[in-house]
Amino acid sequence: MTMIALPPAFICLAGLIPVLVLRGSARNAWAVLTGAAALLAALALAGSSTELAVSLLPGIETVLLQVDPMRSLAGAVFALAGLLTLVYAACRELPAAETMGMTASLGATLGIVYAGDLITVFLFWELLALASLSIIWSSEDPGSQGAGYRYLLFHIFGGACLLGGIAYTVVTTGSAAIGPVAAGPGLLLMLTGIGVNAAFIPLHTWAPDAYPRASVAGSVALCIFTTKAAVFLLAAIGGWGVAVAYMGAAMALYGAVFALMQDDIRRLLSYSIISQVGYMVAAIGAGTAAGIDAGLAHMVNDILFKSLLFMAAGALIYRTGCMRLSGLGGLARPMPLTTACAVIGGLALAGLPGLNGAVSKGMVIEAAAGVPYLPEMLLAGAVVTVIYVLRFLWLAFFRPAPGTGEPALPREAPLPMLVAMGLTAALCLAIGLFPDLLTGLLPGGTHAHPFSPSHLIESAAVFAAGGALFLLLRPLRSPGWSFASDIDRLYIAAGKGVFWFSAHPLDRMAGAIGRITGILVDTLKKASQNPPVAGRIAGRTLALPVVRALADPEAAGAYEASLAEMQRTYPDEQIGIWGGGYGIVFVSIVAFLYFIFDLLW
Amino acid sequence: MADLSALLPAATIAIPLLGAGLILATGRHENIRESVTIAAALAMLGTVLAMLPAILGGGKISLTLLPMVPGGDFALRVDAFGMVFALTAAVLWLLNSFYAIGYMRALKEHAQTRFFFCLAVAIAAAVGIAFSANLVTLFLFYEVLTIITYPLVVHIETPAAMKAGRKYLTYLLIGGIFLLAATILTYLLTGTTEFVPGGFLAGSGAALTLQVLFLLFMVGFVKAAWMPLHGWLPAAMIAPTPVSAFLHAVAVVTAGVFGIVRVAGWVYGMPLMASLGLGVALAAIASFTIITASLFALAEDNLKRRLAYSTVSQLSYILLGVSMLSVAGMTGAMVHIPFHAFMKITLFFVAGAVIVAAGRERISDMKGLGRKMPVTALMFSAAAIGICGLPPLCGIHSKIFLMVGAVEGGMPVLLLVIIASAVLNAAYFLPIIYTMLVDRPADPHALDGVAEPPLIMLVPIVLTAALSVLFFFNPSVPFMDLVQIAIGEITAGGLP
Amino acid sequence: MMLVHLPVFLVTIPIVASLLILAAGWHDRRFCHPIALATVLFQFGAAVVLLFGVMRGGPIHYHVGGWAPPLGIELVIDSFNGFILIVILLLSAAAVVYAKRSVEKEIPADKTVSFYVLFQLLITGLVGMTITGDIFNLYVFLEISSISAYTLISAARRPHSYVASFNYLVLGSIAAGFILLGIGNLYVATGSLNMRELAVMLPASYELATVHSAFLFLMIGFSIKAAVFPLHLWLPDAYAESPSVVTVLISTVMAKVSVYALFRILFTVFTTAYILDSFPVTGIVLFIAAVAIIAGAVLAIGQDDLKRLLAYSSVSQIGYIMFALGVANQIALEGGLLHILGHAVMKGCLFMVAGLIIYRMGTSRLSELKGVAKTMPVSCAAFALAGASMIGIPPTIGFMSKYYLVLGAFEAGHYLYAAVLLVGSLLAAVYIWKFIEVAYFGHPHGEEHGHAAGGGRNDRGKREAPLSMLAPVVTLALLCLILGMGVEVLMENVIGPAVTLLLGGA
Repeated sequence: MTMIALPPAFICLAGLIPVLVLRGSARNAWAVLTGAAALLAALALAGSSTELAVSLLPGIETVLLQVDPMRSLAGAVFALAGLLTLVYAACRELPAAETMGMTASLGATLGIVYAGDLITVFLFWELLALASLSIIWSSEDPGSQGAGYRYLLFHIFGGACLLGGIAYTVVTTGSAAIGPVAAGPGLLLMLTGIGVNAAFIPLHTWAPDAYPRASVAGSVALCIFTTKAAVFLLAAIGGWGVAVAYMGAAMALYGAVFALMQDDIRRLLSYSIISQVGYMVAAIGAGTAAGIDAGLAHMVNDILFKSLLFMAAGALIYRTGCMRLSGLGGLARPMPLTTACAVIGGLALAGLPGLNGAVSKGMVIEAAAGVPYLPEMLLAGAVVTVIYVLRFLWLAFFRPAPGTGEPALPREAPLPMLVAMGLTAALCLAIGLFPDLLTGLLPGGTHAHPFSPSHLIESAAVFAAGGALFLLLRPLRSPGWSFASDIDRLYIAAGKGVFWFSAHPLDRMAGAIGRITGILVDTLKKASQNPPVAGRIAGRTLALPVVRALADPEAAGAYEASLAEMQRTYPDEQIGIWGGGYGIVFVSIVAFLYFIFDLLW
Repeated sequence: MADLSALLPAATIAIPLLGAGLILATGRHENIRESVTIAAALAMLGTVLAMLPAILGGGKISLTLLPMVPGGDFALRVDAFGMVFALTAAVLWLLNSFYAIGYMRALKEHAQTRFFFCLAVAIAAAVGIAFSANLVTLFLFYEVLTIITYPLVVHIETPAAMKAGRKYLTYLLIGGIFLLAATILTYLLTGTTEFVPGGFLAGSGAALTLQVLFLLFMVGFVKAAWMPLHGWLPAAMIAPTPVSAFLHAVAVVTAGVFGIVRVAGWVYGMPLMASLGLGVALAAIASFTIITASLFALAEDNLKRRLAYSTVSQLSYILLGVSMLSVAGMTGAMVHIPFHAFMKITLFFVAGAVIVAAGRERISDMKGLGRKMPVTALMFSAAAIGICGLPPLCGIHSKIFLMVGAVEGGMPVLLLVIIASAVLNAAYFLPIIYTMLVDRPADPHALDGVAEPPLIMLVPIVLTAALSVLFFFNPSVPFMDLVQIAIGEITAGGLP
Repeated sequence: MMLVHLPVFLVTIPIVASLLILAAGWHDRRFCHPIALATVLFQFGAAVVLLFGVMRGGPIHYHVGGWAPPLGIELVIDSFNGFILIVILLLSAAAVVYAKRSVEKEIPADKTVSFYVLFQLLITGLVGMTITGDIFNLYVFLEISSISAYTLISAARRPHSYVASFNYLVLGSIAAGFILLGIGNLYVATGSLNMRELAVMLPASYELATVHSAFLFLMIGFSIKAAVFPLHLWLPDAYAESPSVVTVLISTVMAKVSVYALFRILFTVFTTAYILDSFPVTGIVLFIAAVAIIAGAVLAIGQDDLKRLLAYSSVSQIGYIMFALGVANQIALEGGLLHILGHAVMKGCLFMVAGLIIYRMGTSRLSELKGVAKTMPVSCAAFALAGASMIGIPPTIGFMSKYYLVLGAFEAGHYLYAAVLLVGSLLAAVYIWKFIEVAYFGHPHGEEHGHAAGGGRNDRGKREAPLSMLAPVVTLALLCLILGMGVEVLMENVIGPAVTLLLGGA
């Protein structure tokens, strides 16, 4: 079965080349084909235990392909989501760079998933950042330049930190195998590195910064890969402390609260990503096998419903050209199918039993039970989640359209989008109704009981609380909150500071040094033309103020005149009849010195 | 046959010199002159490759030409590390020759005979440095390199160029003096200056003496452009681009770092360096240079000068690797010499191509250039990404080894330096990529009539970039293997 | 047989030749040059023969007229002055070859004959100074050479050259006076004028004030003749204002012989025992040498006239040689002697090029020589090569001597002075580069630079100097390189023994 051993990642990367030459729908078709091929390869790998190792660098064996249940599950899901995204993107011709970016990020993510060692992970990690960059920069949004710039700086930083952590592992354990990291600077570095991609607070700002500025299809691709790949790596490495769990909880709350305060749809969803990733991180941080399972399960589900929501949002923006909740409304009638998908995705996100979100969210909270206060924080997050989901659905679809007069009704989303959304929604439903479809694949063999009384009560309580608050607090239903600022303001200011520093003080300093040395050299050169006279000029110039002060005016005037004359004629004629003069004086001086020396001796 | 192969090192140096002579002789007939250059480049590459198998087999080729002064005969010895430099120089000289021909003809530069003559002598000197068997011989070629590159730097002969040339010469000659002093001192301390794997200075003098001696060496190798002695490199950017590309990204600066690595591994030896605390000192210098140079690069709008500052900072990666005094660090340092050379020369090639095709030197004038010269712009982006240490280019390998080396050498602080510099590298390269590939010029007709440079320039660009990618997928052949052999030699005597 | 009398022929034949030049010149002045050339070539050949003789059979002692010392005059040729002899005659030969056209250009036709006569006498006097073993005889030859030198300097017949000649005359006479006093004192102290005997007898009376003062008189006298800073004042004008070929001769041969005399007196008459232990003068010498190196170079940098620039550079370079004397250990002295050879060769070459440029361009002002390399490529290439040697770029001879000097200084622990030496070479780079920049990268007025120059190469046709002048220039330039390459041979066979001899060994 050597054919099987072909890593899905390389299928995608190989698929990049034709994209350059193909045009129009052919390009889209090719991209979809590539995605499908990758998915097939991933499915073909499932269950097998193939391994593909090459020795790229001396002393370090890089395992490009390693298969186990966890990897098979994640790989299949990522490939599936990637395929759906490519289908969704096929609605119109994208710039080659963007299609390549999408395919490449799918490839890179699959590479991370199937990687058997940390070096390979790192290579694909950096590739993923590049792919995302090309997606962001392909967007027409004027803000995309800065966003992409900041995005890559963040991930370069993350990647370097990750590599630092890897270096520690390599040195301490002697191998780059994926596994728990010994506490110490190494752990810290690696956590920072992964944390950037997983949008740990306060390293999260790139997500709400970049995602809204990508193109409609691009943002879908972005939302799937980067963060979830980080979650997968966290799960694969494992053995993190409780601190990570609490970080997860913090993200869950922080993300949810910020999501509540957004006006830009995709910015809202970006914060929602942070919040949902928080759940996964919390579960993985809890450390138990069940925790890992829960984290993975929620990752799978979030991939599905979050991409579904992004697709829906994309469809809205694609049709209406408006990205702000304050400008939308009443779209349920013109775009029923999109609405349906959005509702399914939203309720899944909110954790309605019967949809996939509930399955894994329940597992997460169960897994978190071991850690004090963790479940409570997560439940609180869940409540806020319900609120912002309801707010989103209400404002975008169900409230009466804003503005006077009848606006031109948008048409239903184009077919490829509908296909992609439909399939995704179907998956959400399927997993929601038959949890074992998913839990059966989990490495730890944990099972979910979303319909167990306790869970039903739990979700009922959450929904009740959320719904009640949404109905009671009027402001929640009013559009037009846009709380756009986050701590990224700090980072931007700092960055500008660095630029200013290198552009002004540093530059000026260098220039000054150069000038000073130049002046010194010139003076020396001039003086060396006729040292005696130069010395005399210097002496007189120094004496000038004294003369001015003491001597009477015309004498001083004469003095200055002679000085000026001396400077004018400098360096004057160097030959004259001094043979009898200087020469003898000099000789006698030297002779005298010699004899003095003699006497002293 | 055996004696023939023993003569190969001398031949490698003689060929470009011979070529230089022919270039002078045939100066009147451009085509003959150019073909002489190409022929010499090919011949030299041939002799280097002829030596490669023996070296990869762990062998050495030694050759004493003639006795010179007490402390060092005029002697050559080809070993793995020297091969790394020589091979890089040989390959890049060939590509650069094609590029230079295209460039100089496209711009109708004057005094082309002088240009190609000096270039040929310079490469001979560079290879001579690579093959030197002792400090005296190294110094000899080092000085020759200094002098012969001067006419290249001041090629355009404007007052500004002459000023830059003086700066260049001042820095490098002062460096040469220090190197001479260091060489003589070494001889007095040990009675030899012959390079010995693992070093020969141990126990030859008081700690302070050896520390001062190392300082002399550092100043001597000012060609490594470590701060604050880097001033000559940005100044030298006034030279024609092939010069900047070949000399100030490859030959001259590499000669500097090569010398420092030689001294560290073959004169001092890593245990002695460690016991003298020189690793820390070197690390301090290198870190300062890496960060500061990147900051300078951030603010620079002239493409070539920004690349120059990037070179300054990248060269200190090599010093950083040496300073870690660990196997991985040393590996990273040595392997970064060829890898950086290949990527950086691509960048300079592109800068020159832009000058030829669009006559632009300022980054802010390059908006949307990628739409008119896509291949060039793509190659630039690729190489730039490589310098940032991203896949799929060879730069990432050196980064990995440096990181591992930092931990291995017990200097985790250096990790932060590398991380910071990685961010800074991206910070000053990304805007260029955006400007070229994504951005649009304010005036849509600003770029009318701009097109890709002539093939004779484009092909070398693509080749160097392609090689950089190739070395990502297969770093071992030949460079990593050579480095492994060299490391094996110098660590045979034990590690700090 | 002849070979036995070779030493005396070395002096007598040229004197006869100079009379011959006079006679033949009256008949037809075209005879002058061939005779002079033949003579100097004979001398050179003889010198070579003698040096090999010395290398094989040790020092050669020749008693003039068969009168043994102390009554008679003795000519001594050992490895030291044998070596010097080769150097000065090599340069003289080059100068004579060079002289033909340059004299035709610079010397009024009716003065040609007297010029060659004096030229011949100058060489003869210097050769005599070199080979004599009698200290008073040394003085006699010194005066012969000096007087002819004064006259030759003024032969350029420019007002400045008269002044320069006069200045030199004054200082030279002072120097001669000092030397004569010194010799007198020595005679009073020992009753002998023969160097070897002096060396034997002096130790008895080392502590006498007479001997001390004699030593000082001689030191000052020869320092003036050798233009050791700060007694160099006559040198720049004398070098700059005299005819090119005369400049070549006095800047190389004459300066070297004066230095030789100094060494001879210090090491052979007053042995190392004296100058190191009994009356340690090396400290001062070293200091003065250091000052000379820097001051000379700095002054050279300031000059705009090429010949004057080179003249000041000579002040600095003589400092190098004195430096060796100051360090006074084997390696340093080897460096010093090597530098006597090296400096003679390269400075000769440089001054010759200056002469060529004056010959073609009619000026030696740098400001008027922009782009001269396009007109005179070969000459400028020679200048560049010799200049590189002056800076000390390996593998030229200049580098080798610098290397030995620094090595010696380090070995003697004079780290600071070694640094001075290196700085000196850097300054040398500066003043050499003044010309290189102008010649190669300067642009004559009216021709804008850079791309506009198009094909660039020799757009104004080459106008090289005549071959007879170019040949010696190129030869010397190549010698800078060849001698540098073959330095080991020189060291082994000639300089090494010479130094051991000076230091009283062997």
